[in-house]
Amino acid sequence: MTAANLASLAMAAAARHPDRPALKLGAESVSYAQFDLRIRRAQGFLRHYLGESGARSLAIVAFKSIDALVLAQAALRLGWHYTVIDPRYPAERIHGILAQCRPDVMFSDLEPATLAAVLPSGLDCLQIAAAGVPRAAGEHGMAELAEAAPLPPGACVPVAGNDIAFVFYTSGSTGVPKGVPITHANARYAVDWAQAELAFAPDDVFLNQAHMGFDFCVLDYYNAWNAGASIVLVEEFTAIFSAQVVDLIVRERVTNLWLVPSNVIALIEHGGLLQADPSRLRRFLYAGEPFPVNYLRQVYDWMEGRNVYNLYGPTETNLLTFHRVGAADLALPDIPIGRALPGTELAVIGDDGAFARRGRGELVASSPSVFPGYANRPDLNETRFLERDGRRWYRTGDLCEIDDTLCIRYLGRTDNMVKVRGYRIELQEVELAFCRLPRVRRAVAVARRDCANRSEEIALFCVVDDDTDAAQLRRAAGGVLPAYMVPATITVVDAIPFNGRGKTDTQALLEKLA
Amino acid sequence: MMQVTSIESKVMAIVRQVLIHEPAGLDCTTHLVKTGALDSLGVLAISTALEAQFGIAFRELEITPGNFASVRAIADLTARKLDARVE
Repeated sequence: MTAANLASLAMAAAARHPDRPALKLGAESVSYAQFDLRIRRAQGFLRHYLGESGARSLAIVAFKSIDALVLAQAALRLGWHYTVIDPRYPAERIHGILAQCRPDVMFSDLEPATLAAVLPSGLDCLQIAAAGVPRAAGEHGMAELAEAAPLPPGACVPVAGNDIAFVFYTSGSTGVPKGVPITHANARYAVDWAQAELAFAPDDVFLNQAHMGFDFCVLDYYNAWNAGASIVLVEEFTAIFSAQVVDLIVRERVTNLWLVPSNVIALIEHGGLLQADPSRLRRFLYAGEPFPVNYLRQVYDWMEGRNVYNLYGPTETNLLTFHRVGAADLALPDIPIGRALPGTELAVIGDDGAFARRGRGELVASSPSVFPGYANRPDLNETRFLERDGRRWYRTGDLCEIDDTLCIRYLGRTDNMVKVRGYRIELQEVELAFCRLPRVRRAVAVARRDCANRSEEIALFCVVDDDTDAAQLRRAAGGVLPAYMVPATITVVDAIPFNGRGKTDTQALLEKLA
Repeated sequence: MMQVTSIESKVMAIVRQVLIHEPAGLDCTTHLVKTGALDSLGVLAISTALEAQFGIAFRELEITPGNFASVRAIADLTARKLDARVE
């Protein structure tokens, strides 16, 4: 069915109201009709070069752009899937992800030398260079796509609901990022729920702050297009300048915000968010990590209590629960993640291994939003899924408590994964990266609350062979880890202390920071 | 009035301390944001350090991608702030 294809959302909006604004990025803005035409030209281009080749996937290794979104939608309309990789990642990491996803087409804004370094050997892949970057030999340019004969309106390959739409790559404890494929049906379930609950309208203006490779984009893009609303895209360069982001929110009359709490705190502290006029904002959605209540209270008051939502769901599950924040919540030590979306079943597995619909334990989910399983990782799928009551359940790794009213509180993690400013990080991946640096003998990563108690951060302790110092280690780590994984503090220690049970004494390590 | 080149070297010293990683061939014109070397915390650390070192105060709307694109851009902004202070 065409309707099952996520790409049908923007297509239908273009047919319904072609002249409404669809996307805005800096000085560039496009209507739905223009967006649709560019997608159809990109489809024409891709079909011309790869029509009968059996191609199935697109990788985008580029900063946010309207062209990148055009290509992603063209890929979906052709029945392919796409992956977005942050071009600021170290070359080795980009290479590792490309070697896993082996795209048939790659759109990138990398310099030719970097491009050569990240391409896996033997990968037969059509290359498209983003506008404004020098083209490597054999790369196609966006001008060719802009002139390609468009496919007719409505050309969209039918897909089955369980076909893959996109793949996210998240931190993996073995040092290799894990591929998380999301199906059309997974995303559509979350989009349909959000539309029913949050009633987006064509005159809504979404702010898209997240990088395209981040799961927040699913709701930003597909809910906006589903409603025929417009999206203000925040460039990666702008996103780190809080006052600029607040200025965009005001100037573009944004009505819908969907942000990570530590990002909100930065906008409050450094961008003057709460001094801006909130009257145009219809909803304030947050997810990705707990929101410190002292800050959430300020946001709630600023929004005059209207439509502040805590949404929850690991990347593997899109959305699982939601909670509309009320005044009474602000007296609690933490805000519940709320109740399951309609059609989602949740339970916990206690310390004793017992499966229960209430109580405390690792949260497990059986839901149309749960992904089909990690790509090429049967070992992980074996441990992350279980069968129970005739359903398949995904183990989230999140420690939660389900109360008698089926309201859920998030208590922490059951493993070594931490959330730093909304990004998922496996502590072992950070440790492994340091251990592979020259002259590092041991590395231990410990999660702790930052000094202002706003978010978690990583403190890293290293035993080194010579007089290598922390600044050198930081620079070296920045060459192999994405910026968000580089620890907040790096401390060189003589030895890693052990506690009475022979385990690493993390408390003793953290005391070294005091 | 302080020379821009001398401001540049002071800015470079501060920037070096807060970069997440040092881009290959880092010089005064290297794009700090595009190369992913600078994040939002780095921007804050640089502006705070410059304010302390030069006795200036940045306005929120001066903390822009353009003004923080490179060491030279940051030094130029700093020089403008110093001039404005003198006048």
